[in-house]
Amino acid sequence: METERIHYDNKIVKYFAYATIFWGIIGMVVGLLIALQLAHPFFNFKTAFLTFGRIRPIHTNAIIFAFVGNAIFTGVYHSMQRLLKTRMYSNFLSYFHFWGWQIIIVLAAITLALGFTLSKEYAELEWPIDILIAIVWLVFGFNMFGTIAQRRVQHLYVAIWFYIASWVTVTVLHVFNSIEIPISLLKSYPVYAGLQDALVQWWYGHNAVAFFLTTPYLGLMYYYLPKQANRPIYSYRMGIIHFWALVFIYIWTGPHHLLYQSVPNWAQTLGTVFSVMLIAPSWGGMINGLLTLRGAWDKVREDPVLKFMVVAVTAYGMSTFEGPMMSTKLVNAITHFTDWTIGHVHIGGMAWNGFLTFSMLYYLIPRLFNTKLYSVKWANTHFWLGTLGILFYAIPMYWAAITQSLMWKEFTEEGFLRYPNFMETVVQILPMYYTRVLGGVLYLTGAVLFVVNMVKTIKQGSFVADEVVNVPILESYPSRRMEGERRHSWLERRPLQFTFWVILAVVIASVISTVPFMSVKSNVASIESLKPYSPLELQGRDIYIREGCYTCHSQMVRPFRSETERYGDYAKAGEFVYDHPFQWGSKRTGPDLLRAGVPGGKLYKTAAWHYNHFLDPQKMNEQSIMPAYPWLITNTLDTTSTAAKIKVMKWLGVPYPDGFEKVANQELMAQASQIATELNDNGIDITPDKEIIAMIAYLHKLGRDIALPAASEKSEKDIIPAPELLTDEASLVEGKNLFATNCAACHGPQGQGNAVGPNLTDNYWIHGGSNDDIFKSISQGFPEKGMPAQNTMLKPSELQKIYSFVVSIIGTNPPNAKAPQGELFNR
Amino acid sequence: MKLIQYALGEFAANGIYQAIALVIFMVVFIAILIYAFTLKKSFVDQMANAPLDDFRSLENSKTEQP
Repeated sequence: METERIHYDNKIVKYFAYATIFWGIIGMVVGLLIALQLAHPFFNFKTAFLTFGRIRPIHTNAIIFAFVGNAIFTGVYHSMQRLLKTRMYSNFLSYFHFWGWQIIIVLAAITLALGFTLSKEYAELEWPIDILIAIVWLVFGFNMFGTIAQRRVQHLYVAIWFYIASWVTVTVLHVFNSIEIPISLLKSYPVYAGLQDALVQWWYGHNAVAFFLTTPYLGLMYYYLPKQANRPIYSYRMGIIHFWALVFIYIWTGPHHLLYQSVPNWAQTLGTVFSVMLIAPSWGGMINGLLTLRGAWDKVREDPVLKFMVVAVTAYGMSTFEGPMMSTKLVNAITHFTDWTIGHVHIGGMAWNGFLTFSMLYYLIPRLFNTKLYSVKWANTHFWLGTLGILFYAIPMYWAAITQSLMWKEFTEEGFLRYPNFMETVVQILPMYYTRVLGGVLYLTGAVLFVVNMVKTIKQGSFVADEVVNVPILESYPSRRMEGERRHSWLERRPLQFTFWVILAVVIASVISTVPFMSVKSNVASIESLKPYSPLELQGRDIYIREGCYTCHSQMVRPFRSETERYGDYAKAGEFVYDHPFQWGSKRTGPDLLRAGVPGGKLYKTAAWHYNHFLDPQKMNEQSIMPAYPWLITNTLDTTSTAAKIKVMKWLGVPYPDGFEKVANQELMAQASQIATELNDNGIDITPDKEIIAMIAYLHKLGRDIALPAASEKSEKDIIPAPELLTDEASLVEGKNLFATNCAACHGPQGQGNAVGPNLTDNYWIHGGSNDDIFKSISQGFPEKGMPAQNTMLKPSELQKIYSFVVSIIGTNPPNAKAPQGELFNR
Repeated sequence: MKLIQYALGEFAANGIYQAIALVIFMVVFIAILIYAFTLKKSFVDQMANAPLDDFRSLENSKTEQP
């Protein structure tokens, strides 16, 4: 058999492998930091660029696009050359791809830290970076297809199919989810709004998981697992079915991220049905991987590389079972918005992606350096540290999720929420958050050990930059050197045909699952009372986006009684039509804010409350884990962008009057002065030009336009006479405890008053000091001033005890009492 | 355009989407099964062994000192 010499490019593989290791450690360290931040807000360091809302997207982007991304390229550049028996198509394109990708990562880290974000999960990066990603991605594609075109084998192994499908789909996803209109160099609004934006985003978001974290890794599995086990894949036929079924089904499932939310029922059903169908091909893939080791299980005992692979493939199976379960409405009602989602993605991220990456590098690095792994023992230790890390991460997350979700949903016999204070449910799961940190530390320790092992291995070997192999010349296939000669057309046609089928599968599914929403007007009932954001509210909204508030606060009240009781009226599709981008969120570390601006609503807080809360959340609520945002108070609002923002919004169809952009800043200042005056009246020294003013304006806009008028009238109507005053010790102690959980945040633990609420122990009263007046104030509150109506949260017997306790502390004169407010009442 | 939007709305309301989705999926899936199981055994074996035949050699691979 005639052979020819070819040179595999190992240098590019080495580059990507080093980048994988470097960004992997960075991504994990950042992950550990945000885990600490959730356990204790101290770790936000009161610094804007270190605060959770900005760091969390850095962690997700670093892991997905830097760690996993570079690992994909490592594997693709290594395995493709060997599977196709050719060097990569172009050295220049390879290194352009490498450096382009690293520049994107650095730019991403910088812009996200500075708060430039689109707030669409895993697609946060602003438009110039999006363009750069598109260019580099096209270069990668060009290089890949060029390599395929000059291959020395007739047929493409299934791993290559997975690479092609990943490339095609990610291209489509990235382009359509990133259509945005620039306002300035680093700020843009997506063309989609509300429900459309949500559907496109989760069509993207889900498939970023599918076609970035899954299919390329399956390609790696189909290459490296047989390689390391030294036996062919269990069933190549099953591989074919696995591939096509995955490619075809994955795209449909996006709406399962939006169950019970403001999207049409049939879309939700589509998402659920296809998600459940996904179990079959996914498990086919897992079984195919595991059965490849049949008869070789003794190797698994000795070989750390195979151990990592087995756990990775098993985790793939577990995750792809868990995912479809979470996509059914029954389970989703409990798991959505909780830490279950976090646990789920970390099984995928740490075990499937992480462990497969480690195994690939343990396989690859010694071979690139023509040596043996420095320490198998260390690799085994790494394996156990990593596995324990995953367990210590995931189990607390599931535990926290179920605990918190059930607490959110629990009602008393009388039909009130058992835990009306969101804080109670957070405090309950804090121990799990600490345990999660331990999991992260274990996993990271293992990874550091891995790095040391790699460094030692590299030191003891010598790098093979160009690996020379003799491969048989493909019969009737011209070699590379014979330029200008026509290649056999059928060989060329096949990858193209193949790519065509992949595109077709992806496009059909995408069209059916997103196109019906492209014209919102025909799908969404309009809500007449809904007004576009005022210029100040719009600026506030952009600060909300900048600070990543959506990473912890949803704006999506689902139609469950447990949610409408806690947050207010459920969400309607029509109220989001001006939301570019949507802010529904996917996790409730804090309460939902959809109705935070409804006066008299359950979550309404006054401007003064918000001011103090942003300044120091722990002062208002000792156990709160929300970070402080002191810079909102000192930063001056940038109003130079207002006109441009209004213009783009108008262009996108938001009905601002003609010429509004010219007067927008006047209106902005007028509204800002009002809020500043209100704050000044409450003894807060602030000027109207600060960012916090815009933020408060936005929070007070949430849900306000569609609030039911009944909310404010109610307090006039149902007047209840004060019940009997209790004086027995037991009732007063109970009253004191109720006071501590319900009232102390604003009135101090002894009722001495604080920055928000007045002193209750003196005999000066703003709303009257008679027993009836006091009871009425407690029970019906003054929602417009931030004092919530307690009768919506507490039983009558509990109200009676709080009331009795409040009356009992009058005249107690506690230390640090607030100065008297209101009028003296003679008891 | 109006007509298309109307039609899309009607499809959604009448559950035609689910039906279309199911039919498309079944057709595609059966086609894949037929394709996979009519492949020649020799071809399948050859493909399955693709990652393993490396022709790994060789004389004097160019090396670089670390």
